[in-house]
Amino acid sequence: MSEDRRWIETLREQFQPEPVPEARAAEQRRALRQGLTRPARGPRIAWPALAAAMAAAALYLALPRATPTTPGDAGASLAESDALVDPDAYASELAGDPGYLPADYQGLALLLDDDAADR
Amino acid sequence: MEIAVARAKADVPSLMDAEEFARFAEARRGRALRLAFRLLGGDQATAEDVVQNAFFRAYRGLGAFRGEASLDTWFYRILVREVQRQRRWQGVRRLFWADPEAAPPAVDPSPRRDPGLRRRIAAALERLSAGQREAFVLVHLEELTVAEAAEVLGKAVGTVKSHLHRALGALREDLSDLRGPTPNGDTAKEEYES
Repeated sequence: MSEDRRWIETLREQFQPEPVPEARAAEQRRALRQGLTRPARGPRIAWPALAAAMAAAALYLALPRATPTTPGDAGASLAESDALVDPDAYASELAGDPGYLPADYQGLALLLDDDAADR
Repeated sequence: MEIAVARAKADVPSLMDAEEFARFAEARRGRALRLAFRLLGGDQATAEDVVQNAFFRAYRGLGAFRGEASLDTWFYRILVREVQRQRRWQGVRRLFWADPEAAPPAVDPSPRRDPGLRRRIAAALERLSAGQREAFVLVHLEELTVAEAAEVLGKAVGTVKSHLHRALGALREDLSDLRGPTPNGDTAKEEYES
């Protein structure tokens, strides 16, 4: 037998578990049979992950919503922004444009303007 | 260990009931415990738990058994994975908590074995990489062939041979005093080197 074989045989002999006492072995056999015959459980639920997800959802729903913004807002001109704050300023600017009102109302607008001019 | 890879599909029952599986498990408990014990650095209590868990996992996974390897190979693959899972968990516990279970295993009361030597062997195996340790334990301590070990570990034969070569080198150095005098510088040729 070569030295390596003897050496490995020593490792094999020295490094192995102790015999399991009969009482413990019997308990393991009983536990195995019991575990094998137990009906299969349903899919396991990761309760901590589920609780964390529910807490996050509750927090999201409880937080006040910010005014939604759209990409178009970013490109709004200063005048349009002012109009949002002061609609009259925007309206007066549009009022000078004859195409601003439908045809029926354009005549009415002219009358009102004339009345205002007479006064 | 005689894992007859070739007999694969012929004698494997397509479905085992609990009683049949219990018999299958009991016939392999001793060998499974020895393998888990050696891969877990000599921790017998943990090895017993790991073996039991591997039996349950194997039974639940019987439906996935394709018969591509023998049932033995398939089971030992599950066992090795269970050991790997246990070692990862132990690693996490050591990282974040002072792990009371990480204490060295109880001293072996058996007069046949030297507890100090056992601890030294365990420590030397722990210093190997996981792949080297698994290959060495399966081939040299459990006496699987390299091909069987490769199948159990899910690795290429060449990879296992490489692990074995490195493991042997490291252990020869670490446990050199156990080898005794080597007349004519005798270093046995590694049998798997072909």
